[in-house]
Formats: sequence, structure tokens, C-alpha cells
Amino acid sequence: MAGKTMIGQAMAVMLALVLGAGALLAHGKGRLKLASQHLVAGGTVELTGSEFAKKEAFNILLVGASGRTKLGEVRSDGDGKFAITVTVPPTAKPGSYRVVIEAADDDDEVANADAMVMAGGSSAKVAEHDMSQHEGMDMPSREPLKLDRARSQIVTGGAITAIMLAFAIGGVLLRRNGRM
Amino acid sequence: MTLLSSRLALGALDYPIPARANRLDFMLGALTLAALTVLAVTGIVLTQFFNPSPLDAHSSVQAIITTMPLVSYLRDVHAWSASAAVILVFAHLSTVFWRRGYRNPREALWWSGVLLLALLFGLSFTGSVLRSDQEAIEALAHAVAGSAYMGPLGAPLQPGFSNSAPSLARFYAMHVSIFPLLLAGLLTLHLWLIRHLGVSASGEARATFRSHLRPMSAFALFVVGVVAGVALLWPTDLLAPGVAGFEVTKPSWAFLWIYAAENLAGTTGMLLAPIVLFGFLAAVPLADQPGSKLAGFTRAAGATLLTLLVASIVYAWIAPAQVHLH
Repeated sequence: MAGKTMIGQAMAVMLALVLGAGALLAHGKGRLKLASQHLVAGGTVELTGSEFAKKEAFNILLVGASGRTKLGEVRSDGDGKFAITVTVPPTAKPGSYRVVIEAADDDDEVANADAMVMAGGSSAKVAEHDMSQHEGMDMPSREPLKLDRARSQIVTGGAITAIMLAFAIGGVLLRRNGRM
Repeated sequence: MTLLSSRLALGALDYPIPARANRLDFMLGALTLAALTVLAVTGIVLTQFFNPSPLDAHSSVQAIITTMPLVSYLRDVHAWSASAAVILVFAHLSTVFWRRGYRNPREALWWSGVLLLALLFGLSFTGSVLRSDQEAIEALAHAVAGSAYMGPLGAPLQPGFSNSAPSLARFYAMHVSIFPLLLAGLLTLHLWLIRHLGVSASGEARATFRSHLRPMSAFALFVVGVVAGVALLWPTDLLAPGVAGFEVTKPSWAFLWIYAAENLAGTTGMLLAPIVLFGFLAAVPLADQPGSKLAGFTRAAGATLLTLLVASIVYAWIAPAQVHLH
């Protein structure tokens, strides 16, 4: 009986935590797209939003290690869309940030996008980052990328050898075990 | 061997265990550990070539695949080992459940195993997010959506939890340090309890644990061989860089049962499915006690849950992708 009571109490606590203790989403999520994820301090970037709540006011913030900076405000149209160009503060330190859209009435975060801020005067191109992978990326895809995989005969041969050795040694161990 | 034996105290391995434990169905836990070891070794290599920065994660994986044949192969071994670990742990759980290896005095052993299972799912999930492809982005969105219902427990999964570390970096920390450390600690407890409570195998005949190591090593080598062979034949795919706000993919097979629940009951279903599974597993030692009326029911419920799990994975595999969050 004590065990059943404990089970019941534990499940009640778990359900309360899951269903009751959390804040339900006050606003639906939207889609935010940045014209470029590489921002320059003091430069501008165009933001486009879709599937946001209709005719609602939002705050645009740049959030990073140094804190939160408001970049501007925007109001969605009758279709839940918006387009706005904002200026990255010239004092923004280089590093990783998030561009965050919050509902103006309750600061509920409804969309965000990762971004990298570079020092003022930098070009937007990052040498090691292959920008071509983002071409035509307005629509997502579930298809695997057709990649030119690196191949090496040494690696393939080594793998086959290791696999055969694993099976051979395993077989020997089992046979020796059978004789014990 | 005597030289090594005395210096490494290998004589401690000669403690008695039931002879029946020298069967494959008593070694599934050890085989899961073998898969986890492969995951750890290949994972350590991958940390040297993967970039957890949100904007560069996907391109670093792409670079691994297209320019580093050995690391790319180890990445495939890593991914397939994860699947092998999940299959083996469920096989282990099923056999222990069926022979009632959770009964007094092995309750703590069972519960440590349930926690290990949860950690394994956590590792699998956080690992799948790191790729930053479309499937990863959608998985992350689901985690964020679910965590919004979990109050303080879900806070660390929210993007706004930390201003100085992006979500991907925090998931990376979970995957490579937090969860592995917890796993190592729980495994130590789990193995300690097995050593001191004994294997739950019946029969009077005895064998030494050292004799148990030989077939266990053999099967572990077979597991490694199979995983390495499968990785060679079927390299792991990478989808295009993720576009946030869309749902066009399905999760990996190990999470399809949660996806099926979400198809049927939305975010509530997504949260309830793991609660039902882990809640049941946690309750098993309390419900199934010798002589209790619930004993037979627990067994039937467990078999039913396992059947439902498999059926839901098959259903979600076949069913077209659905939009849940947008």
C-alpha cells in the first residue's frame, strides 16, 4: 500500500511539473530570416519575418555575452509579416549573438536567429565559412546533401582488416570458451 | 600472465558467478557498454574536428565528410554505435525485465539502469542536434517547445537561458561533458551493485567471472565488427543547413515513438510518451513484488508497452512528416 501511494505521489509531482508548473506559450512562434548572419558593427541588416501574430508590435534585440541591446521595433501586417532594416550598434563587440524578436506587450520571445558580429570595417565575407551552402535556402529540404565524400584506400583497407580481425579474435575466444 | 596477474590484482576477477550467466542474454549490458566505449573513443576524435559555433557547426561536419576520410569514417562509426547502443540497451532491459532482475535486493540496480537509459536518450538527442542540419534544427525546436511546459526544469533548454553561450554550445557541453560524466558515475554504481548483489541468474552451478569475460569479449568484438562494417557500407547522411521555422523531417528512429505520440496528441503527447515509459520503468520494482496482485499485470503491461513502442516506431517511420509546432 505504501508502495502504491509512493507511485501515485511521484506521478502526480511529475505531471504537475510538466503540465502545470510551466508557463504556457503566450504567443505563437514566428519565422525570422536575416539577410546575412554575419553582421558588421555599425552596419545594417535586413530582417524579414513571417507567420507572426497579425498586427502585433515586436521588439528587436541583439542578445549576447555583453547583454541585450534593443535594435528597434516593428509591427507585423495583416498576414503576420514584416520587413525592417536595423543598425547594428557600432559599439557591439565581435562575437556570437542572437537576434531576438520579443512580443512588445509581455517580452515573450517569439523568434530568434543566430548571428556573428564582426568589427566595424570588416568585410562581410568570412574566409572559412562556405556561404554557398546557404544559396537557395529559403525553403528547407529533407534530402541528404550530395557530398563528394573523402575516400582513402588506406582507411577502407584498414577498416576491413580491423573488422575481420574483430570477428576472427571473437571466434577464437568463443571456441576456446567452448573447450573450457 | 602471473607477472601481470599479481601486479594488476587480476585474481579479483575470479569471484564466483552463476554458470548460467555465461549466456548471451546475460551479456547484453556488457555489449551495451562496448558500444558506449566505441562512442566515447570515436567521440573524442570528433571533438577535435567539430566546431560547436552555431554558424560553423554544419560546415565543420561537411568538412569532415568531404576532406577527412578517417574522421568521416569514425563519424559514421559513432552514429551507428549510437543506434547499436539503443538496440542493445533495450534488449538488455527486456531480458532483465522478463526474468524479474529488479526484485529485492536489486531495486537500486534497476533504477540506476533506468537513469542510464534516460541518459543514453539524452546523449543521442544532444548529439543529433549538433549537426545543425534541417533534422537537427527541428529537433532543437521541439526541445525548446517541450521545455516551455516544464517550468524551471526546462529553463536550461530555452535559447534565452544564457546570453553568453548559444544553445548549440550548451548542447555540445551536455553531449561531451555533462551527460558523459553523469553516465560514468551511474555506470560505476551500476557495476558496483552487480558485483556485490550478484547476477540474477538461477542455478547452483558456478563459474568464475574471469571465465565470463572470454565470451563477453568475443561478443563485444562481434558488435564492434558489425558496427564498423555497417558504417563502411552505409555512411551517415548530412542534410542541408537547417532553416528555422519549418518542419519537413522526422527524427532519428530512436525517437520516432515520441514523434508518433506527437502526431496523435501534439506537444502534450510528445511530453507524455517519455513520462509514461520512464514512469512505468521506475514503478516496476514497486509494483511487481512477490505475491503482489500487480505482479502479473506489471509483466503484461511491460510486454504491451514494448509492443506499442515498436509499433509506434514503425507507424512513425511509414507516416508522412507532419507539422506540429508551426
